[in-house]
Parts: sequence; structure tokens; C-alpha cells
Amino acid sequence: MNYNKILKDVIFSMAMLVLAYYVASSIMHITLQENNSALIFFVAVVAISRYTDGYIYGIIASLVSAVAINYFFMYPYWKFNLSISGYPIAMLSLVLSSIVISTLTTQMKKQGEQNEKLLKLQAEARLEAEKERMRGNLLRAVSHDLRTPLTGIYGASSVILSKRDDITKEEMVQFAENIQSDTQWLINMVENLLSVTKVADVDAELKKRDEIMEEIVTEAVAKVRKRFPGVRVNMGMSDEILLVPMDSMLIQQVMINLMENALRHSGDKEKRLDINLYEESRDGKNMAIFELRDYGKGINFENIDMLIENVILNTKLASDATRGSGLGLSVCKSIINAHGGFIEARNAESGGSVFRFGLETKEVLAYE
Amino acid sequence: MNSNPAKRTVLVIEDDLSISNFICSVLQTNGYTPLIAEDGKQAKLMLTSHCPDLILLDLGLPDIDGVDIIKWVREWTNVPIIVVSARGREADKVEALELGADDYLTKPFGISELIARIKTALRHADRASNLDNSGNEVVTVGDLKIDIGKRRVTLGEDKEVRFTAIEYKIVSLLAKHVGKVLTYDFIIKEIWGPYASSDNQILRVNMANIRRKLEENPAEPKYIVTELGVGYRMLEE
Repeated sequence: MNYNKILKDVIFSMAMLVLAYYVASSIMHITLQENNSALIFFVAVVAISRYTDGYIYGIIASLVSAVAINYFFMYPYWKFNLSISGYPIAMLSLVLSSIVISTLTTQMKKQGEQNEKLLKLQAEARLEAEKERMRGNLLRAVSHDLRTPLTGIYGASSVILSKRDDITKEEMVQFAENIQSDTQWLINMVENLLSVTKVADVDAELKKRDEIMEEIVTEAVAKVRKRFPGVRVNMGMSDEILLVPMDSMLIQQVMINLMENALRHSGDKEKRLDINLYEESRDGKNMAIFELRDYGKGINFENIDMLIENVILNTKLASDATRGSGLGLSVCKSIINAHGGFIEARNAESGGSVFRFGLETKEVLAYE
Repeated sequence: MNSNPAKRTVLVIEDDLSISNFICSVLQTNGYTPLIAEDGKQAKLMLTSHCPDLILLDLGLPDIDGVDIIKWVREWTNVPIIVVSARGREADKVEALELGADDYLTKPFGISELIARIKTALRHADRASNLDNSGNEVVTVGDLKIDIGKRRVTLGEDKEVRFTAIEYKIVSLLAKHVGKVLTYDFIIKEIWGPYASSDNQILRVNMANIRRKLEENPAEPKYIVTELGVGYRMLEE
């Protein structure tokens, strides 16, 4: 029982009836005719039916209006009189038509509310379906992508075991290195999976903490360096300290994915990466920008949107060698979107590609 | 204490066989004597009968919470403890460190990381037991020289680095514990006192400034490493 609403409805109804009375009596004084009073009370009844909950206020208002009309606006004035011929029928028709109007109005109102609820449910259902589709795609792509390195690991270890007496040192080292690199790749895949479960969970709110952007970058670079020894990373950053509310694990994952993609697919044998951190204003907000530039062959422009729009998850297009680059980028996009940021890609003028994402910053309160 | 001074014993408390096999193999190759306990109960038994020089404790044990072992051990000995935990479980690591663990390893970890952490922990334990607190310590990491006695920090050939008072306190604290991870909370309490707020923004802003003064390429830190979610560590040579 929402007593607040009931109180509001009662006061509103009373106010409308009182208003109707004053309007009707002013008109009566001006025109010296009282025929319009019924219409004015009808308007009041319509308003009451429209803005109050349920049928009851409208119906009561109809009865009250009929009585008021008879009392104030029909001869004899200031008296309730049904004895004059025609009055009972007039009263009855007043009450009936008023109730009908009231009921119709309330019904219209309820219909409108139902429609709104329906639309909302439909939108939610569509969102759920989209998330399910994404999850389905993801699982499919992941299973596909997991089998390749697993095959590699199983195969290499099988060879070592089957050749245990004949195997040469070089072969041993080769197969062990293969196992290592496949494992590193699996490790990153698992991290991506965990990130997706964090982001795709409808109920979970992203747990953001204030982090210093450069610290996340340094850790991400260290992880990438473990998997790609010999990578040359040059990092430039602005003088300002960029404080960003974020889930550090997830944003780290984004950076790692972007760097690994660049190292695996750009085709730059020297494994050069340039990272730049700076501040930029977008739509009136201060954003911290992470920009990654590689010196490879650049991205086929048609593929930028395809890459980011997870079309490559369609296994017909993905070869084993692309090893989940579409997957990595779609994870990046989900994470950045969940943070309310933006992510974009373009080709650099002098060759290579530039990926960048931006997150809203928080002000650093300088103190000792 | 171990009768053979050259070979230290390391108690590995780990329930997964593949991992303990690999760790034992690495320990032996590097001149340590490994002991294995597969669960908390076994660990306690072995700890009371063997007195290892270092404990390697997996926080994901089946029967007992790793922190209970730390608490139990710390009641009667300062033996160095290195905890092993998975990525994303930073809160567990911080709790372990605050209860008395000396350092941590994140799964999956490599051989060099494992050995480096063990060496550092043993070195600090030795130093502590020798009570070398002369205060004339000079810590060197590559080009960086921190002269705690003279309160002077130089990079390379006598190029002095100017720090604010707070920044210097942080750098010298990290230097005193070189190679070891220090949690945010520990640093805050040491620098700003035991009643300081645990909001670590002030520390992190100071660290960002320190890094800007020391590190040439922030993508390749040579002196101070950020351990996200846990704290900071000054690298050893």
C-alpha cells in the first residue's frame, strides 16, 4: 500500500474538483449561463482518471461532480434537488456518462503502461540474446583456438616420449621450446576467458579502483616480454600523472592483447612497439589515452572493423595461424566498452598500425 | 638449523604433484635440499621435525588455509616464507605478506623467478640474523647508488638525483629491503606513521614522481618495479 501515492491521488482529485467548481462558477458569472458546468466537471473527471491509480477516484469524482453540479449549478442553487421534472434523468445521465469517460480514460492509461513494459522487456530480451550470441561465439572460437596449441603440446611431448632413447639434444630443445610457446599462448587465452566472464556477467558491476595508467602499462609490457623475448618497447608518457578508475586486471589484458596481436601479426621481424600515454579531451571529458604503434605491414582497412566487430570469430574466416586475433580484439572492445571508454585503430602514415583506447581520468589531488 | 651449511633445506608445501616435481628438480639443481608436504597437516609435522631454512607455501591447499600456516609458523620462528598464488588473487598475497610472509610468486612462474626470490629471502634472513644495522649501508642496483648513511642517491657517474623528503624516505626504505616486495600498507605505515590512512593514492603519486626521476624507459624499469595490487620492489643486481 503506497500511502504516499494514495494521499497524492486524493489531494489531486479534490483539487481538480475544486478547480472545476471555480472555473464553472466564474464562467457562470461571466456568461450568466450554467449549461457548461457539466462539461467542465467532465474535464476534471478525465484529468482525475488519467493521473490517479485505478478506477476508483474517477468513479467517485463522477458521483461527486454530479452532486456538485446539481447543488451549485442547477436551480434551486445551493440545494440538492431531484424533484424538479427531468432532474433525475439528467443526474443519472450525468453520472453514467461521467463514469464511462472515467473508465475509458483509466483503461487507456493502463494500456499505455502495459505497452511500455512490453517494449522494455523486448529490449532486455534482445540484449540477453545478443550476450548469449557473443558468449556462444566466444566459446566456439576459444575451443577452436585451444585445440591448436594443445595439439602442439601433446604432439611434442609424445615425440619426446616415443624417441626417449634416440632423441638428439637439438630435437629435445626444439620440442621443449614448442611446448613453452604453446603454453604461453594458452596462458594468455585463459586470462582472456577470465576477463570475458567478468565482463559478460550481467549482474556483476565492474569493480573499479583508481590506478595510475603507467603502472598498468609497465606490468603489461613485462608480461609480454616474458612471452616474446627480444621485443623492443619504447614508451613515452606525458608529465601528468594519469589517474584512471579501472579494473586493472582487465585493462592490463587489453594492453597485452593489443601488443601480442601486433607482435604476432604485424610482420615486423624486429618486434618494435611504441607506446604513448597522454591526455586528451573528448566530448568535454578528460581521457587517458594508451596508444600502441607497430612497424609492421599495417591493417587491411576492411579488416579493422571486421577485426573489432568479431566477424573473424566466424571460424570459416579464421585460419589456425591467426590464432585468435579477432578474439583478442573483441575481448578488448568488450572491456573498454564496459569501462565507458573508446577504442579505435588506424594505419600510421609511415607504415604499421596504430591502436588506441581512451578511458576517463580522475583528477590527481596533489599533496605531500 | 641445518648441519651442512652449504646446503639449505626448503620445505615445499604443495598439493599438485607436477608442480612439486618441477620445483624439487629445480631446487636440487640449484644446490638446495627439497622437502615436500602435500597438505597442511603434513606441513606442520615436517616443520616441527625438520626446521627448514625456507618455506615455499602454496596458498591453494585443500585442507587448510595457507594463512593459518603462516600464523602458526610466525608464533615461534622467523624462517622466511614465500607464498605461491594464482594471478588475480592479489588480496590473498597482501594478506599473507601482512601476516608475516616475506615474498610471493604468481602462478605460472619460471625457474629464474623462483630461484631469485629464494636467494633474496635467504639473504635478508641472514642479514637480519647478523644484526647488521650499522646504518652505513650503500645499496647499488646497476647505475643507481643509494648511500643510506650519507642520504645521497646518485645515478651513474656521480649524477645526483634530487628527491623530496618523502620521496627519499620511500627510496631508502625500498633500498633497505632490496629485492623484497613491500606492500602499500607497509610503506605507508613506515613513512607516514601507524595512524596514516590506508588510501594509497598519495604513495602512488609519490612513486610515479620517483620513477620519472630514475627510470629512462618506463617500459623497462631498471630499479623499481610495481607489483600491481600488492606494492613495490626494488630490483636486485
